[in-house]
Formats: sequence, structure tokens, C-alpha cells
Amino acid sequence: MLHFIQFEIKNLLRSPFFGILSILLLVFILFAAYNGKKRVDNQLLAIETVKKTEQEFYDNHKILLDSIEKGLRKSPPQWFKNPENPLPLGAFRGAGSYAILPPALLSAISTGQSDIFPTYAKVAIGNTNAGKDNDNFENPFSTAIGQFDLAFVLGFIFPLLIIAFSYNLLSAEREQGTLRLLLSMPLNINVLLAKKIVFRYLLLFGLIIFLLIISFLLFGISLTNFDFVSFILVLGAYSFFWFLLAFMVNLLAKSSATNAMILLGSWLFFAFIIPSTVNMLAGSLYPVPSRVEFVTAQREIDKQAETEKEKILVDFYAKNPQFKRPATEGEKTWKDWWREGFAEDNYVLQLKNKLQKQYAEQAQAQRNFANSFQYFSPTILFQNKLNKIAATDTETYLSFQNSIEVFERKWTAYFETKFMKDEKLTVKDFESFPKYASVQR
Amino acid sequence: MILHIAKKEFREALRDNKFRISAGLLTILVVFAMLVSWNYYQKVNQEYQQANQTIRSQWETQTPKNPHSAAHFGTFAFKPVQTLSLIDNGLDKYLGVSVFLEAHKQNTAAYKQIADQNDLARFAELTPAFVFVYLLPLLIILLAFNTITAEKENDTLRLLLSQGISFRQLAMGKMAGIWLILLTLLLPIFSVGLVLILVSENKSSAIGNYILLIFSLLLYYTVFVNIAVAVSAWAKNSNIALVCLLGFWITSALLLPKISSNLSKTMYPTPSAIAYQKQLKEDLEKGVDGHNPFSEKSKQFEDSVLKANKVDSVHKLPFNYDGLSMQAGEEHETVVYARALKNLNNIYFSQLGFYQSTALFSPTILLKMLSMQFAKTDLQTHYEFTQQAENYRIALVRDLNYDLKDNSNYGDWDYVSKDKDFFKKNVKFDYQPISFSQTLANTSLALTLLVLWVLASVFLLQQTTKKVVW
Repeated sequence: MLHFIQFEIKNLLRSPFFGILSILLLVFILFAAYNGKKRVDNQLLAIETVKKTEQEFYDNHKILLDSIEKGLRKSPPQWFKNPENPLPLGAFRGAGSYAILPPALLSAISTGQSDIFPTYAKVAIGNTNAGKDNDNFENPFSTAIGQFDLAFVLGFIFPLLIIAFSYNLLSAEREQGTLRLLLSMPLNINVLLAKKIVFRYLLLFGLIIFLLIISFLLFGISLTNFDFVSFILVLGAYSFFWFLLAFMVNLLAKSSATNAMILLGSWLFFAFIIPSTVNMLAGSLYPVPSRVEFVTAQREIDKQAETEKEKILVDFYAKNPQFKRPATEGEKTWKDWWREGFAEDNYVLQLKNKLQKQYAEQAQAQRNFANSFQYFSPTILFQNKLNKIAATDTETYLSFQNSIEVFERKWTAYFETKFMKDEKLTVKDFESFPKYASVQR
Repeated sequence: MILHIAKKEFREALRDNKFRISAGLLTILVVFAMLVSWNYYQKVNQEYQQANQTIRSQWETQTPKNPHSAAHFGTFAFKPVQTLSLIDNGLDKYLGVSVFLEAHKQNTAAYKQIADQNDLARFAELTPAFVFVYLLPLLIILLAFNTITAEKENDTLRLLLSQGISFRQLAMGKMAGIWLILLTLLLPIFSVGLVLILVSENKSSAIGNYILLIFSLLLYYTVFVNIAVAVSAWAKNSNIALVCLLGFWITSALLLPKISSNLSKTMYPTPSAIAYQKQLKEDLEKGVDGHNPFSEKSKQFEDSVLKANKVDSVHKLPFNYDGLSMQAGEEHETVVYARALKNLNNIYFSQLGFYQSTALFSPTILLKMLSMQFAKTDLQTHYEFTQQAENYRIALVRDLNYDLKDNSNYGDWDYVSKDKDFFKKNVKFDYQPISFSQTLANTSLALTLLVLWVLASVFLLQQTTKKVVW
């Protein structure tokens, strides 16, 4: 056995191929890890900045309110600057609280959908679309090309390396004429082939773990956590698949060129043809909801609210006899504007929520269809698993969006109630402002 | 002689199982992709046309209201679907489809398709362009990698050369054979595409672009055929030829696009959304705010208007001051938004420029960009659309503010136009597609680079076919 390993190692080290490919792999992994780390750093910086702006805004208003309460200062004459008024602290001019999705420990390994969905959103009164509106500024072209991240290097490039090192294990012996020699010896040729494959598997897998650890240490990506273990396990299973495939193709006893073509064809099939065909099928069998139709349907609701305006307002004043309805637009105070606004918004919101749900369900149908095909390709499975570990998968972002909606309702309800009751904010109230609770992973 | 060799190659390829299977699969894939894409295009285009009509009638039939309130109510501009998106849907799913047009604010296009999909949608999508740009070069490699090395390995090369043919003539013959096979395969496929375009809308402008696309694809295939034959002429055996050519494909189609796209972002960093919005807010505050008459800039503007009209109060002006100040605010806001977006887009285009320059190392980068440009599913076309939507917004809001200024009294927010058809008479959004000559101008650099690639591959072929390397 020792003999065998010595021989194989010598063989590999002598071929310039191995050295070149290892160096290339090192460069790719370093570049990919660097890209991932940079993206996560930008995300952390953004989170820090928004937290700071929010903190500053509320600290300043708290101080102002404190001195008003103590009689040191007068309330500002303009209602929209007065911290005793719930609206300026809940609705506009920098008011609002951030819902934040912090990066996972291993977020750097896979970009996933992080260049599509925002990782933070500002929630203020009536900002019902906060989770979706906040556009990140990624160049759409580079999003379409895709990022050079570890998921790409390990999912797409690494199998090619595996193929390069194992496509001709027996065929090369045959082509060099050494196969006869081997056959004359008292050994089982399939066992020898298996040994060669296992040796290469351990070597390449070991090499890649080594390179990953180096790059993680270099860029300060956390290694000592359960996520890293599952990452390595997933990678181990994925590379095992490719070695197993190579083993079986070698058993077919074809020429080296044929082996290479079969293996490359499989790679093309699993990494490109299956995903792209599933994408196309999903698109045509379960088309994503037409968003232009969604927009016109929403508009229809806006118009309905306009025609129903009189009814909505009559209803509102009947239910809230404490408010007196102004006769003309000119007579309206800011309070009348806001009260009537809340009444109309609540009406519209109910209808729009229903519409939104209907469209979201249609989108989910395509996602489910596409997901059911992931088992047909190890590359899709691998990518999905890595996205999960990195918490950059669609599901994470969708549940983040949902949690933002919940938070927005809480936030709006809190300030709206205070405003409707005509209550003044106090310094003590600052502690009871709704807080965003992070989604549980 | 060359013709003889070509014929032989052609016949051999037809007999070869590997080629028959891969060519057959490829044809099925691309025709299937074309039909599905066409079907999808028809559906989306119909939705677009319908939505366009609906949104206009929703504007026209809105309840009578103060024109500035109508400007806040706003309307939408929808991004038209391009006919050639059935060949290459380019960036379509990564770009928003509708722009909300309202007073005071330029909104970005919203509702990206990708947000309605999942992780799998980030893999390649089976479009005709995907097959043309990424898979066909692989077929060429499969056809050509051993075209000369096999003759070396079977020792038939000596035999051939002893018949009096030069090595270069042999290579020419091989090339002719490969082209014969390729064209037999491609012409029917291209024709299917042409037929689908002919039964679609806006075909007249699409056909010109489609022909340009086919033309550049053929140049692209020329590069691959030349390089493949050159490598086969140079390589000692088929194995080496195959590894080199596959290495070239992997680098050109898989590695370089991602690497240079990432590098372009390092070279020209995209600003963070926070920094962008902060700058925007600061710039907005530097001008007139139509809704805040107390701001310093608003006061200054008011004084200047009073002075120019030689009155001492806005009530005495011969027009409604609110309309004028709203419009003044609008004009300031428009400039601020335009500048901010222009800066952002300039960064995007710098990134694209860097990306295109790395096409010197990868012809696939070039073709990917070209096919998107010809299909009008690229960033430039999107930018053009948002620009037109913005110009329309400016015109519409101006109409509304001037009606307020000219036909109502100061402070009269109950004012509605006496003209029942007022909203029907407002300007309409009329999208002007990018013209053929514009497309030519936009793509001229990439086309030049492509021609350079062809020349370089011809040179390589010339060098490697001078004499035989055994």
C-alpha cells in the first residue's frame, strides 16, 4: 500500500500539470474568498451606517424632547419638527427604524441572491413596501454574469479539476502499453482503479481544504463553527460524486479522449443543460406573475379608493365622532389631512395585501417547480446547500421580507394609535418604540 | 483537392456517432428554446400592450382633482418587450419593468423578474443565444480537435502529403469541411429564428439586428474554427489538442467573464445605496422645495418672483404662485436626480467598458455583449428607456403645474380643471426604440474587436500550417 501511494505521489508531482493546476486553484480560491469577504464587509459597513443614522436621529429628538419636558426649551412651532408629535418620529424626515439581515458566519462563500435582495430596509409609517423597494445598486450586467465566488470555484471549476486528474486512469496505461504489464500481475484491476480514485479523492479534497483554510485565515473568515463543518461535508459529498462518476467512466474501458468527452459532457449536462432546461420549463409552465398587470391592478385599487373616498370618510367620521369633518380642502388642518390619510390608506392596504398575496403565490408556484428538479443535478444541489449555509438563498430573503412587513405593521400601529388619540410623546415612550426582531436561522 | 478533403470530412462527421448525438441534441435544444422563447415573448408582449392601454385609461378617467394632486397620483411607464428577446433575453430578468412617474421624484424601474424566482434562476437559462454563444463553440471543438492530429496518429498524414498536397492546403480542406458541416447545421436553425421573427411584432427593425447578430456569430465561429484547426495542426496528438481547446473554451466562456466582471467592480466601485441616497438628499435640500415655502431657497425664489412682477405679496401675482413654485421645485429636483443617476450610470458604463476591453482575451465576452445589444436587452437600451420615461414625467408634471399656475387662484387647493377632458389632453408616453444606425454605432467597437480576433486567428492558422510538427 505504501508503495502504491509513493508511486502515485511521485507520478503526480512529476507531471507539470498538477503543479500548474494547484497554483491556479489557489489563485481562484484566494480571489473568490477575497470577493466574498469584500461583499460581506460592505454589507457590515452599510448595517453599521444605518444603525448609526437611526441612533443619531432618535438620540437628538430624545434630547430635544427631554429639554422641552423639563421646560428648558419651547416646542418647535412647526408641527413637523415637534418631537412631542408622534408623526415626525414615526413617518418622515429621517424617522423610521431599520430592519436588518446580518450576514451569516460563512456568508462569504456564496453570493447567492444577495446581489438581488436588499439586506436592510427602512421602515416608517405607511412604508408597506420597504422590504422590496430598497434597491441595491449592483450593476445589473455583473449580476447577470454572476459573481466569482467560492460557490462558483467549487461547484463549476473543481469538478473540471477532478475530471482532469482522473479521466485516463486505465486508458493511459493501455495507451502507453503498461496495462498488459499490470494485468500480468496478481491484482484485481478494478481494485487498483478504485485505489487510484480514492487516492486522488483524498489528495484533491485534502488540498482544497488546505487552500480553503489558508484563504479563510488570510481574510478573517470564521472557521471554528458548525457552518464550516457542514460546508466541508457538502463539498466532500459533491466531490465524491464526481470521483464516482470518473470511476465508472474509467470502467467502461474506452480511450482517454472518449473518457474525457463523456466526463466533460456530464459536467456540461449537470452544470448547464439541466439547470437551463429546468429554468426554461419553469418559466413557461409556471410563468412568473406579470408585474405590469400587477401594477395596473394596484392602480385600479387606487382608483377604487378615490371613488369610494366619500364613503370611507363618512364611515371614518361615524366611527370616530370625536373628530369633526372640515367642510372644504382649504379648512383642513394637518391633523385632518393625516387622519383622513390613515383612513384611506387602511382601506387601500387591505385590498392591496390581498392582491399581493395572490401574485406572491403565483411566484411561489414557479419556485416550487424549479426546486423539485434540484435532485436531478448535483451542481444545483451543491449551489443550493451553499446558499443555505451562507444564508443568501431566496428563502432567507423572502422570510426577511415577511418579517419586515410584520414589523412595519407594528411600527405604524404604534405611532398611528398615539396620533389618533392625540397623545404627546414622552421621553419614556422612546423605550417602547417597536424594535425589529431578527429572523431566526 | 481541398474540396475532396472537405467532402470526406463532411461524410465522416455524419457517420461519427459522437458528432451525430451532440449535433442532434444541440439542434433539438436550440429549436426548442426558440419556440418556448417565442411563445413567452408573445405572452409578455401582449401583457405589455394591454397594460399600456389600461394605465393610460386609468389616468384619463381618474376622478377630477387638483392638477398637482394628479401629479402625486402619478402614472406608470412600462418597459417594452423587444422582439429579439426571443433570441437573447439578456439582462431582462435583472431589470425592472415599470417606472412610477410622480411629482418631485425620479423613480427607478421596479419589479425585477428575478425577485419572483429562486436560486436556480441564477444558473444559465436555455435561450437560443446561450446555445449559439456558449455551446456551439464546444461543438466546433469536438468537430475539429483531431481533424489533423488523427491523421498524424494514424500515419495517414505522410500518405496525404506524399500525394502532392501542401500542409496548408490540407488544413484549408479540413476547414472547408468543418464549415460545410456547420452551415448545414446552422442554416436551418437560423431560418427557424427568422420565421419566428417574421410572425412577431416590430419585425422590420428586428430583422436588421438579427442579420447583424448572425453575421457576428459567423465571425465568432470563424475564430473558433481557425483556432481549433490551428491547434490540431500544431499539436502532437489528439489529447493535447483537446485539452488546449477545452482550456481555451473554459477560459473564454466561463472564467474570464466572471473574473473581469468582478475586477471591473474593483476598478470602478459601485457606490453604496446609503452614500448615494445621502448625496441625493443633500443636493435636493439645496434648492426650492415646492411643498416647503419656509425653506431658505423657497423664500429666495419667492422674493425674486415678487420683485420681477413688482408686487409685494404672492396674492397679487397675475397667476397662482403655488403652480410656479411647484414647477421651480420640480426643475431643481429633476436636475438633481438626473445628475445622480448619470453619475451612477457612468460608473456602470465604465465597468462595462473595462469588461469589454478584456474581450481581447475572450471572444465569448464580445459575443455575449453583442448579442444583447442586437437583441436590445442590454443596459444601454434600458437606460434609454428610463431616460425617455423621465422626459415624459418632466413634460407631464410641467403640464399639470402650469395648469395650476395659469388657471387657479393662490391658495385654492380645491381647484379642478373646468375642462372635463383635461386628463385626456395630457401628453402621452411614446417610446422611441433605438434605431438601427444607433445600434451600429453602439456596437462598432465590439465589432472591430471581433474582426481583430478573426485576423489574429487567421494569423495563428497561417503560422501553424507552415510546416508539419510531428
